[in-house]
Amino acid sequence: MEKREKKGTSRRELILLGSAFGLMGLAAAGTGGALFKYMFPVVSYGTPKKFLVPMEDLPDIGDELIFEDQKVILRRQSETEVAAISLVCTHLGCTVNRVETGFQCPCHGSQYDSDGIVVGGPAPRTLPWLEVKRVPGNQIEIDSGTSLPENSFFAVV
Amino acid sequence: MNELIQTAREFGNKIYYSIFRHRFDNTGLTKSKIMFSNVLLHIQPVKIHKRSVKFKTTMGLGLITFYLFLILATTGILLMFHYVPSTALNADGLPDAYSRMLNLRSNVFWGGFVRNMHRWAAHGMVAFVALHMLRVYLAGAHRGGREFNWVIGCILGLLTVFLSYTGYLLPWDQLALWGVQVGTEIAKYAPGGELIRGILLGDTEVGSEALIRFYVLHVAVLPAVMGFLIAVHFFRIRKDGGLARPADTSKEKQIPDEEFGPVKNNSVFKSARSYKLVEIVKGKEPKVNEEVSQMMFAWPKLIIRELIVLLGVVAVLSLISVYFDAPLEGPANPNHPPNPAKAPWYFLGLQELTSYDGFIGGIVIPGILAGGVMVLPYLEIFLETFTRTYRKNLPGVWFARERNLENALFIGMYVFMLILIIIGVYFRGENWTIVYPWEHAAGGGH
Repeated sequence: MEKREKKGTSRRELILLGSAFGLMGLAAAGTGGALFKYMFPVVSYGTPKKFLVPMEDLPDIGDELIFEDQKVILRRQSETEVAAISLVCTHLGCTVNRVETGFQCPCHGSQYDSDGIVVGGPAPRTLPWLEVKRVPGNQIEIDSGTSLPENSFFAVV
Repeated sequence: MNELIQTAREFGNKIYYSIFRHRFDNTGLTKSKIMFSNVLLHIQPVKIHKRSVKFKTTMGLGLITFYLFLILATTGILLMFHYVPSTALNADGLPDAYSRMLNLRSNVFWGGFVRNMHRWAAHGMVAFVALHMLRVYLAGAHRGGREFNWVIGCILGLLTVFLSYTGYLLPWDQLALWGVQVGTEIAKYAPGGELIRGILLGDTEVGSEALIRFYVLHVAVLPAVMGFLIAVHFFRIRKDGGLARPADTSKEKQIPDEEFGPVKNNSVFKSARSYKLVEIVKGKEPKVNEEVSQMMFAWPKLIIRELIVLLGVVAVLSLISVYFDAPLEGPANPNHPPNPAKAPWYFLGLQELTSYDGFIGGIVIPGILAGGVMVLPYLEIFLETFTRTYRKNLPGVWFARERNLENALFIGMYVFMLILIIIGVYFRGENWTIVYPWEHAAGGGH
């Protein structure tokens, strides 16, 4: 029987190496995925997105009220209509300041008019307007997790 | 009696030689033994080229960076004894982490000094990493087999910046909170950024969870990775054939012995240069018998110089820490960013860029710069191979004429970042509007 010179890796070796490294890869991928889930937050400890405001706390017509913790400004348009605008800059999340011309961000100089429409600076979008609902107990609920287009007024009275 | 003295001497000798394996005389054998029998010194070769200790070769920049890392590790551990990564309000109504800063400043003996030293050393390390990188590039030391070590170095540079970033959240002051707020919002623009942000912050916004995570990253994860990569970085210098040297050394200027005082080159191998395996560069001829007269023992000439640099770094840093207090703003207030809200100086270039456009300035440009710089030597090899210009690979030559274009581009990148930083530090005032420093004292920017 003639001897044949084998070139490269034999099939047996390939299967062995493949399964060894394959198993290690699987184990690594599994561990990585589990680690990711371990690190990924499941509970938020921050300020709740939704908050309640009693009806008697509503500002006067044409007036505004700022909720600092929730970073929301509540505006009363008319006797019945109110709107809430988020004060979180759409650029990089700083809290904008209310100024005469509208809103201004101290971090990177984004400027908005009083409806939250961008008039200058790097901000990519209008400040989000928020959903306002009348809820039982003579109060309204503002959901700062929502993002509506400008001039989203809600009749609450 | 004599016998007792004899025995005692023998005992003493045994103890001495169990600790040191050598005497301290001036022979070549002892000088070699000192270097390779000491765990701290054996990182360095027994014999070095005289060029290596000349100021213009490295300017000691990498060494200074390493010393700053050691100082940071030491002062950082000291700070850990007094720090609590908690945002819980204490009896004074201040967050725990912040009140610990006040405590360090006012009550702890040397507390303020140690914190100052940690902060200023951190700033210094970022600066010296940048300078070291500039030196390596302009001297062409990222080529000639050292390409991979350049990549390691770039990762070390990024780690340095990330360590600074995680570190400055810890005081939990206004600068900390808003710096991290802005930084992690930048991450949102990146693909998959929401996930990264979630992992980093452990919450939807910067809060107590973020403080713990940044603390663990800052004191455990990143320093461990960094320590390991520093070891790799140093190891590769040896394996890649020592400091970058010109390929053709025959025309190099000979450095006379007098420059380093009397160099007693009293080795057995006076006329030959022998090589250990570690000094052979793979794929290259070991340069046996070349530049024999240019070699000298690392002990004590090199070691003394390294210690002098260490003393200098500690002295300068101590002086700075005595005279200048590390910045501490008011306690973190998630409702009101300071106005203007400025990041530390080394991030102000980035902040300036993001103030034009969040995605391009925060992700695209920094990404291209960081990624491009990291693979720069490979990019050069690629271009040289395909354009058939093989004369650009000139390791160990400062400002090589063939590399004028590359060097100019690299310096240009530094100037670009420097200008952005200067604009950010001095020319930005309230609401990030342009102000002139001589008209209005710019705040922030620590």
